Amino acid sequence: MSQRQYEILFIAEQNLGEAEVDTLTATVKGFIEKENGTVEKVEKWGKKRLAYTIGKNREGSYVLMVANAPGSSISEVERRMRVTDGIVRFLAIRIDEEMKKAERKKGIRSRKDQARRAIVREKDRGFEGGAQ
Amino acid sequence: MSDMETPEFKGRSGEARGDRPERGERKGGGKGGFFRRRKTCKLCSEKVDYVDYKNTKLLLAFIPERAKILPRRMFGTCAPCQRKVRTAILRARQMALIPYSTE
Repeated sequence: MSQRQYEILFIAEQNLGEAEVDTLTATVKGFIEKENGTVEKVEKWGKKRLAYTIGKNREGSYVLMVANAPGSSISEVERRMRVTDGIVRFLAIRIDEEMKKAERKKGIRSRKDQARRAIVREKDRGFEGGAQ
Repeated sequence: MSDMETPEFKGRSGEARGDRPERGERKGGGKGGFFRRRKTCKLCSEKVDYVDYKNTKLLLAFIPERAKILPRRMFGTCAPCQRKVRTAILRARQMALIPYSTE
């Protein structure tokens, strides 16, 4: 099954301690692994003030995950996250295509840059003035 | 006067954007008879490939005062970039990284 890359960000409730957030992270990780996915990266942002209150939460602990998982599994992961206590909100987006596009753009740009630099070098060598 | 239409001149008057220029600065002929500074897409020129919803610093530039998304005609972003910014802002709002509105 083809694997896709997803980025999952979730907000844990404000009254959860660090250890509880860790267990929550492990639970979410378990959801992904159960669906034949692998977690590539876990990034804890710590407690951050929310831009607006969600329920009774004025702040929340953000946890970001990058996971490789088959496309069919993400809906199940989302469903499980929805019913998990302690998760205020989450967002799971697919990022592999966007990243690929960005990489391609970067490649094109560096090639163009090199071409431009070559032209400038040529000009420096003797083609001065308004010659095109 | 043809020398008034040179790009250097446009760049100089570009500081007061949206303002109607002095009478003497009027362009002979053309659209409207006064200057429109050509806006460039900031994202394209700064080479932002992927507009990340987590990058609140970037997104906040697009939501001044009332936290409403700045329209393209004000900021001069190109259509593809504006679309990317829009999705990123919607996502960031969803995750309470940036506000929906200010009180």
